Amino acid sequence: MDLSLLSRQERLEIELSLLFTENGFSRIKLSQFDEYELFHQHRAFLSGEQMLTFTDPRGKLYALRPDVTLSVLKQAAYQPEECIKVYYKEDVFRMSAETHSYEAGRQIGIERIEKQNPSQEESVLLLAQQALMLLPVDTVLVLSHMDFLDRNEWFHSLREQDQIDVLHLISRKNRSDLEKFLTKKACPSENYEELLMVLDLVGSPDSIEEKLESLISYPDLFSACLELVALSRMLPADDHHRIMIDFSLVNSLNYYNGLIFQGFAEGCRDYVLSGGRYDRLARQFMPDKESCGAIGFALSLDVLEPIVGDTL
Amino acid sequence: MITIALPKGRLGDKIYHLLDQAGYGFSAMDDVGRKLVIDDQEKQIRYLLVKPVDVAVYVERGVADIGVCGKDIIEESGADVFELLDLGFGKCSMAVAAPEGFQENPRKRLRVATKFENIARAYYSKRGRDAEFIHLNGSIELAPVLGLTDVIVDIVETGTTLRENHLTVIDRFMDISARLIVNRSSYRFKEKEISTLVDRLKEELSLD
Repeated sequence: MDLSLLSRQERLEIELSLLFTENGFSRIKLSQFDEYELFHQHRAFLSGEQMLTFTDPRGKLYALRPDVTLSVLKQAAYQPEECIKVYYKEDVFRMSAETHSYEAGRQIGIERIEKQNPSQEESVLLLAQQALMLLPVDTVLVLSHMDFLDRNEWFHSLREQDQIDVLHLISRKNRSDLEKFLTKKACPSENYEELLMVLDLVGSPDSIEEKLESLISYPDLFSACLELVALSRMLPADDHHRIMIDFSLVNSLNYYNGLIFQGFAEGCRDYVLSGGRYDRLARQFMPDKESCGAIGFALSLDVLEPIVGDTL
Repeated sequence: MITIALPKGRLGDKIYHLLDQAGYGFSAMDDVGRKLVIDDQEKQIRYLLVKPVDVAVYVERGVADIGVCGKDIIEESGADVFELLDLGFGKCSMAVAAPEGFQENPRKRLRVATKFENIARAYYSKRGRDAEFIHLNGSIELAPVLGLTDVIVDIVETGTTLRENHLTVIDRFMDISARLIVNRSSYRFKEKEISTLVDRLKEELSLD
């Protein structure tokens, strides 16, 4: 078979499928819609995504899937296996922030759900880097960690909207407004310094390692940096496929914990790959499995269009 | 090459002056005429001269790596960008204003006139207040005076226009100033050049 007859996007889909299959992930096929209740219950996980809903002839409300992870977890909860390794190629249906209309976007991704032993970060992160290396342009894999924030008691004492505001300001690297916000909320000086220091923790693993000494007074940040530097050392990297650590990459603590990451490809306006550990979300689906954990990532083919969107 | 989107007009002139002082200007700037794209091959910089309201869009979509615009433009557009620097000028506030002596009736839906519909929606949604938004493009102060709406959400600088129309500020809820914004992907691939520019601008701002 002559694969050169296929479009770049089709070839990429095949290469990614091969990569995931060779690493023990089996294809999962999902329905394009699921019960509305599933997405409604975990609305915060979907960052308030608007949903396209419809009612079936028996009066049951359904939604076109705005996200794949929830549907995978729902299935995984009923499977007897202790370790579930699946990959998917599915459309997701979301409201575009730019056009204010619904759009279908294609995602390819993996989910690894462990019901007993949730520590398989290196293998999933390695696959993420290998997936980025399949792209025909320079890439950067950005690593971050949520545990230091999770252990921050002052942060947890804030009401939910204030927590969202802090995460928003960190994620935008907006130092001036973060300073004002923390001052307004009478943030204790130690937490104040730590949260602002987060904005400086960006760079190559080597440059972060050099900063470790200055983090001794912040043990949670220190151990998160140490963990990320160690993880990054296990990944293949070169001048065209770099690894970067950036603690301004944050996500909701209601669902995510530990490692989170994003992949960027030169020529694409936004991240093309996004993933992380979401043990908390997995435990909501498997309440009897207290030690269960999950980690996964997805590539967005519509964001990759500038580099793989040609026809031949 | 770094592409910088600058707003045309007074704010743009001020920002260009600052960039020039920081070593990012070029002699041809005085003679741009009606050009909208200006390249400096030697310094590897491209300037895009765009409408102030469009700066955030150019940066978010990655056409420009960096842009400078007001906080109001960033918030209204909802652009998902890095805000690396508060340049500290163009200072004003986003505020709710109403006719002097206005008493809000919580049992009634509030009618709000504004040019900044997304900002106004977010403000009232956060407070759980039922409101109807009427989009106007100018002379917002007229709306409550003529009974079109109860209040306005608009930019307030000195408050003179409000006073002259017998309106008073009820809540100043957002500080506005010029911000340096950066595309999230550009930051990953041009981090060194962008950080150098930010550091040079910080130095210039501290000298002022």
